[in-house]
Amino acid sequence: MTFETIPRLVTSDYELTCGTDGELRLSGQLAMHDPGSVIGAFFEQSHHAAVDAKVREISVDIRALRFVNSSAIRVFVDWFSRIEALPPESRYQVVFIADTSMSWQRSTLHVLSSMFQGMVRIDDRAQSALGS
Amino acid sequence: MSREPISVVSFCAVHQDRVRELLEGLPTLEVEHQSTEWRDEIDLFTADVVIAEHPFGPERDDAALSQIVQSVRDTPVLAWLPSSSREIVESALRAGARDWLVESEMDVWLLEQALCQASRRPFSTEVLASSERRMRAMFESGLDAQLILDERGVCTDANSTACGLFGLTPDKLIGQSLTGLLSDKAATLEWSKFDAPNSTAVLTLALASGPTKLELRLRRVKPEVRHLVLRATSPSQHPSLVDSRIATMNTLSAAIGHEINNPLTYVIANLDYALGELSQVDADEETLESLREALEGARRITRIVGDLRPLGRGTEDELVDVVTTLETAIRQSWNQIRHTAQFSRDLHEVPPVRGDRGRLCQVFVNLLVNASQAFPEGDARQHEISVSTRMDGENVVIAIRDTGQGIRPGELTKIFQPFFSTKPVGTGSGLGLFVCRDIVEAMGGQIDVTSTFGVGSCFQITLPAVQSADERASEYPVAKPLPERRRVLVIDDEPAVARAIARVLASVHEVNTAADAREALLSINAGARYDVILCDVMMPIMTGMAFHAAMLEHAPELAQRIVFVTGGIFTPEAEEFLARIPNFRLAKPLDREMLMQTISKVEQSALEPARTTLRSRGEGSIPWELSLRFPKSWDRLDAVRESAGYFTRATYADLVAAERVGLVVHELVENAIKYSLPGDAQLSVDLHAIPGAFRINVRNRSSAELFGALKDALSAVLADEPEQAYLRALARCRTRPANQSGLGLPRLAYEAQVELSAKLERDEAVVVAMGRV
Repeated sequence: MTFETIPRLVTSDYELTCGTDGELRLSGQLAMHDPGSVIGAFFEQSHHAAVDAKVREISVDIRALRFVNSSAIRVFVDWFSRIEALPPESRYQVVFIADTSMSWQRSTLHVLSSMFQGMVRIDDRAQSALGS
Repeated sequence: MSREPISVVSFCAVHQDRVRELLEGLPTLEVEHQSTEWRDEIDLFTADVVIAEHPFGPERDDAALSQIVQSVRDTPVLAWLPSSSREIVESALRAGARDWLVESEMDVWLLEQALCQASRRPFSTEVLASSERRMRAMFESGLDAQLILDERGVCTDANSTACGLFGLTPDKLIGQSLTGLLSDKAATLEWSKFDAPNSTAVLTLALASGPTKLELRLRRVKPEVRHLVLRATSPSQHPSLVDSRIATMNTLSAAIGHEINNPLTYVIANLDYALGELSQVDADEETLESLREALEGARRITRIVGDLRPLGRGTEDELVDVVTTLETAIRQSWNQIRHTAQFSRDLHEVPPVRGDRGRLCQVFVNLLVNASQAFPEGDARQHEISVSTRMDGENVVIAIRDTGQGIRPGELTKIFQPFFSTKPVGTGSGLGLFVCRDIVEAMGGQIDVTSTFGVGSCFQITLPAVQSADERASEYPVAKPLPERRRVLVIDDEPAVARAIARVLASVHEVNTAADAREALLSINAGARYDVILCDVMMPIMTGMAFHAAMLEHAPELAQRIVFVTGGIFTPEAEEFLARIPNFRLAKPLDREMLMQTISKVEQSALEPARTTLRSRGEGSIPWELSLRFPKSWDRLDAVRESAGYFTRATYADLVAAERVGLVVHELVENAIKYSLPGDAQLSVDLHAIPGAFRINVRNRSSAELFGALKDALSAVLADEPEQAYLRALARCRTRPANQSGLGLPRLAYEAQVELSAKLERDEAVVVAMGRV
């Protein structure tokens, strides 16, 4: 599995893409009833590609991801659990390129990084207050 | 993955931008698009599919489509229609269109599906999934019970109405044979005879609610798939008859309402104005009294027209003092009561109830007038009407008794049915008690009757009391007119209405009028600015909807300041529009207090910081009061989203923009779905926002068992620090089913920083989230 072969997921609600450099870009809103069955495969494929490529770090740009429901957060948890289950030498770090002016990104990423210490890092690129 | 691009020629004049926009946004299909407005040119293009506007152009040419079909020969032509009315669809198909696309219903998924179908290309998996979701939503939201059967008559799928009808959960219903299902309910069906390509049967089933006549319609979709629709009908009256009478009544009453409400608006507004003016100049009491009586008469007409208003519309949600409301009803009915019976009252102080004060008063008046008509003519001292109020547990009970002739036993079960009346022909519409029950049930209560023929009757109304002082204290404050002078624009195509409104408001506000929305638009484009715009919805040249759209484009900061004034008649588009937008609305006839309060509310909401923030982001606005009610099945959020477009828009477009509020609504709705009774669940969301704070109530039909599970989940969240509770939930969620993360409530407590509480009221779980902005 390579990053190039991961198909882009585009609907009217969201877009998930994987760049050839392995950077994931998520935008829109993930608010479906059962996100695992819809977008779970995208993260699973990204995980396998990251393991196969032996990367130490994978970036996830979520600055344009406006909303995720709690079931979608569960998809992230499942992903990090897969990383956690790898032997230490195969593990990689997930770096969220985030906009923490959105409260869900600020609070949820904080909790996820507390829970998966050393595995999740936040690269805050918040815009200055919009419209002010 | 990549597919050959599809070549599309569109022949549109009015809708070309919309067609282009959709074609450019197709999710998985690449399109080579050419467009033309000239029918002579259409055969110069070669295409896989042609999309042709029908009727064509602003002159609405309906001959163009058939000429295009002929000129492009074998190329499939899809007709682009302004609506799905039967006449238009039929004329498009007669002209030779392969299929039709409806402007207002169109989205990229549907368009892609139609293009693939027309050009015989395979669907992408995404389009198939979207189509499946739509079909599922339609199947699930059907009012009729629907079963999918295999060739042996065994159920392979069922919608929630079917589950409710048979009293079985989906997993118990699927796998059962139809003959087995029916014989359990004391009806039999010979499957081999019934299983023709299109069959119909009528059976009577013994259900818990009584014997029910069922009409079964079977359609063989494929050799191995049958679609069965079961429509329950009452044994005494065919519902289609009742439905058609109600539909006719609604159409008729909307039309009558519209015609009466416009003149009534300027009658009431002018009387209000004249009374106010004369009161200040020391007019003689006789003159004032005559105007007051005229005003009371006009208001009575308002109530009568209000009775005719289509059921379920136009209700307020406020705290209602039962005793005061009952006293008002007694005063209004007093003329009829005092000539027919002795009257007594036993009114104990009771807590308030929640609902619409005017509608509850209407119920009381109806019952009191009915009671006064229950006596034969004669000595009033021989007859008695009594009213009482008391508490029964957590409910307020109001009883209205009479010692009249009572109701015959056979009629007792029918009196709440529409169009049933024991009164002489011409004196009763048969709608009074039907409307009463509708109003009481809309307030979460019930109405019961006991009667002994020849002795008398007692109507008892039970309504849930609002007990909590907190709840009463946190009631949305009644807005008072601001002392500041505001600039108000009134747009109404009937000049007398606009003038009357202007006259009433002129003492407090600066008012301009316009008889045409285009005229208003011109003045706004030229720089005129208003604090509030009162705009009629249905106007002949430019509708209120078109004006709103134009304002969003030219002066978005004013779009939210439009108050829509409705006269009682709606097109489907207007209904959908009003349900979608957060703007305030008023129903004609209007009175001074109503106008002043609404202007004040618009001003208050426009000043709220959250709105300012949202406006500066250009992401829409948050409505101050939002009430969403969804009467259908709630077992799948996808089905909800597909079948209730207004929910999707309200939640995702407006509320999500307000982040925390959107998060709370979204998570509470998901949570409510989880803890709802299957099949007939009802869910309502009420958002009250006041400066600096908001409160969201989500109600759903729930059993004590489901509520117990909810309460346990909530207790676990509240027992810990919010961050710790969220961390613990994240650690646990890995062991839960994929679509039940268990993160909703802890996330709300931590991320949205709301105070959560829950209570069970009758069979409704009420979850309350309160937060500060």
